[in-house]
Amino acid sequence: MASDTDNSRIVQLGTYNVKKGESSVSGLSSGAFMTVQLHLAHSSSFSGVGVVAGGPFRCAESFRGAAVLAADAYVQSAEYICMSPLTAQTGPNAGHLAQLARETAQAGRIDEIANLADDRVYIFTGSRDTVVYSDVVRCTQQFYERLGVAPGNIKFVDTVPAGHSIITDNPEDSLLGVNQPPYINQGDFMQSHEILKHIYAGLNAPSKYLNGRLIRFDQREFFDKNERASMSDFGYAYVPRAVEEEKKPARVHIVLHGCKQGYGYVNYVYGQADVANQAPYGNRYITTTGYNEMADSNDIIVLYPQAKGADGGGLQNPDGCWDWWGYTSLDPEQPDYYSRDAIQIKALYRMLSRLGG
Amino acid sequence: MDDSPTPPSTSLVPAASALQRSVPAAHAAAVQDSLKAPVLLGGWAVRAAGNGIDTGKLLAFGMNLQTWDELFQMQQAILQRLMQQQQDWLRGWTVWNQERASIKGANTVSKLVEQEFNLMAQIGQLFFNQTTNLVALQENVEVAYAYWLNEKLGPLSSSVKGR
Repeated sequence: MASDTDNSRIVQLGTYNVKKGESSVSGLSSGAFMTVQLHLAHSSSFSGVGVVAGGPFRCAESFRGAAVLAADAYVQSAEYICMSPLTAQTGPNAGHLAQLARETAQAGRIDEIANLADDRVYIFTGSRDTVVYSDVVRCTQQFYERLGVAPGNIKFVDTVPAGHSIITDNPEDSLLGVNQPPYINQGDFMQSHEILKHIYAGLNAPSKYLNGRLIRFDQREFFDKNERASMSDFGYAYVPRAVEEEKKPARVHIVLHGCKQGYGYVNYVYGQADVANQAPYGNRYITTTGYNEMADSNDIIVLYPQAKGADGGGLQNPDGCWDWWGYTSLDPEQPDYYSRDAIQIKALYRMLSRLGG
Repeated sequence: MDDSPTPPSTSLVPAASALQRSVPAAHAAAVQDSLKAPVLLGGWAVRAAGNGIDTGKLLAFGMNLQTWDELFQMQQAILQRLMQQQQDWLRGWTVWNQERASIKGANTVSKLVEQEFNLMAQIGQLFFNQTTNLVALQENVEVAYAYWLNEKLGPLSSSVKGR
């Protein structure tokens, strides 16, 4: 790592010698739902994804009849169909959502579906997950297959007795089977390494010591300081030394945290932000989940955009989740959270473009 | 320079003024919230009525072994989730009892009051969690059943599908 002085700076996100079309993205929970959305919206830019406990594209729009108001119907669909369905039959319908994705592409709101065919897809669900049930995540696998991703390119894992979490081998992380914040649980492998190894063939072993730089950048320029984006002031990126100093060709991997995992997350107690007891989960997601070690030895830039919570007013996002049910949409009847025009997807893509991907 | 302390009555003025300024917004929000309640409850009534109508249609046109099996699976899932909630409820009380037993004597009145209020707040939290979990399960069952009926009946359903 470079000096502490360097790390304490707020820098502008830079441009590097990035191979176009070889970027990838992975996420947990709301970050996994956003991973699928970002992947489909800009599939020409990505070659692979990692979906940990996430559901299929536009899942929240599964059942408009759930409530009178559209915004209520999509939240209820999100919670009861796309997160905790009672059975597989009351979960998302892969065929319907795949057709919806094709129609969205035909309408020009996302990239062409044909781009997905040769992409590498890692999908994981813990068999003890009671936040996003395994039936939902199985539907994500079926969804990708229906969109033409070669079955051999999809790695689907549902045999680990894990709760809702990204798995690490850090001794201080939560027990494997629990379903509670910070949603970083201890197993016997680094899930981030599994994701990257599935997406990119022939990777080197992870570095024991980091040589690159973790930078803090002002991400407000990417969403024009619009509060509707529900994104934090700062984002983070890990840049390997060989990429920064030797200008070696690099690839970009975007990591999307889940709910309650952004650096700025503050728990709401009885409806009020508990600012006196902020849990610094976000920093753990950035520094301890193992992405940086793998990136360091393989010339991969890891981008960690950050969402933030908001409760009350126009935004209902107290847990700082990425938008996969339409809370950022201007018109609840016509939500755009999944498209290239969505405020968060636009911001993420502008970050990727700045890096050179 | 005047070193005389500010009279207590004067130092209360900024706080009282801030309180007064915050009242209209709080009142407006309370009114808005009270308007949302009938919308949600009305939605619940509409969904319940729709479920009744669609159940009738399914019984008339579409019941077969598979639909009976799927209904049975739904019932099993509901039972399982109820049992899980009861386990969490009992586990919560066990933790409360352990906490009650482990509290040591307070050295100040303020600490004593704090300990007692903490225990009462934990009881409140247990009831709050149990109630919201039950309501969420009930809502889940209603939405799931309506959605399932919609999937089974297709265009015959009285509710609107997705996009």
